[in-house]
Amino acid sequence: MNKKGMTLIEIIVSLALISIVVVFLLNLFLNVRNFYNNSKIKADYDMLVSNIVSAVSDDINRYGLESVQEITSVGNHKAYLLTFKTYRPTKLSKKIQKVLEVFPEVEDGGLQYYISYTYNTKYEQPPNFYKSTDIVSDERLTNIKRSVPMGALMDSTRYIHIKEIKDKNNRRIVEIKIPISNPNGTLYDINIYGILT
Amino acid sequence: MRKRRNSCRAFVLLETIIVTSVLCVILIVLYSSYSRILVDIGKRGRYDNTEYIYKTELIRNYLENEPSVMNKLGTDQLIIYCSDNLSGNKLCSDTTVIGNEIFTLMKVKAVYFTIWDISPTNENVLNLEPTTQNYIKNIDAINKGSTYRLIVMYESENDELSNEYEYASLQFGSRD
Repeated sequence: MNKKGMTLIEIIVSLALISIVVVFLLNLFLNVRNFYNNSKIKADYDMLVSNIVSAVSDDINRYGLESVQEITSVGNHKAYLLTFKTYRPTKLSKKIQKVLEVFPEVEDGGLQYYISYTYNTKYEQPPNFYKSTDIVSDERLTNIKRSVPMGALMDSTRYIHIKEIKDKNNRRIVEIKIPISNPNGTLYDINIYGILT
Repeated sequence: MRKRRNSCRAFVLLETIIVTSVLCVILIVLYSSYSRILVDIGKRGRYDNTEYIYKTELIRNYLENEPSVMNKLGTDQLIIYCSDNLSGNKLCSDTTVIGNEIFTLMKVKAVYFTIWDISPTNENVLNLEPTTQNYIKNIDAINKGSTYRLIVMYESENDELSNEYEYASLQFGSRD
């Protein structure tokens, strides 16, 4: 008798068992793919928030925040000038001042937003702002400019929101908020806090 | 003339079933471990994020300058400074609570002071919210002597619809 091959029942049972395994694997694969996509997007936003919050908060903690003042940038965008209590080591008559600005630039993929936190070399409006030759190289190294992930939604009427409150002892606490959300509506607002002294 | 032996090249049904069952069991175990890792990642993503660490640092600097706050710290293992979630405690937005203005601005839900290496099985910890207990379970406490830990629970700024909270903690009081 020819014993080669499989019976129909054997084939059906084998296929049924294999399909159970394949369903598990497919489910796993789809989960991993979704997880990877969501994590990548989240990581980009988290990195941006972390960079900006660290840069500004480190300066606030190190130098002491004196005032936050609205200014208009060269590109006609609203920006904020942060003046600190500490004087510049290279120019002892001037306090450390940095500018926090959000601005859009038109690029190939569409509108690209940037957040910059820099010694304000761009703003040459007396009497408070530095001329570009005034900033030394060590200070320039601490300038940061980060791109917001493409497709992010921002408040185009006012990129940066400032809120100030007073406590019982009349100390002023300032909140600097940059509202950002991804196209799905998930919020990734940047919130920075400081006590004005 | 020698008869050629029939060579059995195929699998019998029983062998196929056994192999597939073993594979299924392995995959189930892997999948369940993988799911647990995903849940853990989701939870830990809300612990000690940069933004909340800086917020907690500001709260710490604020409270450390208040003698009445420093005087509250004694030998207790856990002190609930304020809590919007637990009954019998002052709300963080209560005007008599020192720092309530900052707490309202930063959407603070609760502030706790604990000993540095608080145990998650401590009876006082077991009365806290489950999310706080989970956070305390995940703390990696290197021995820092008798300092206190400031734990702050925040409403998630960027996820107001869910009931998830963000946590951050820092050393409070004397530092090495």
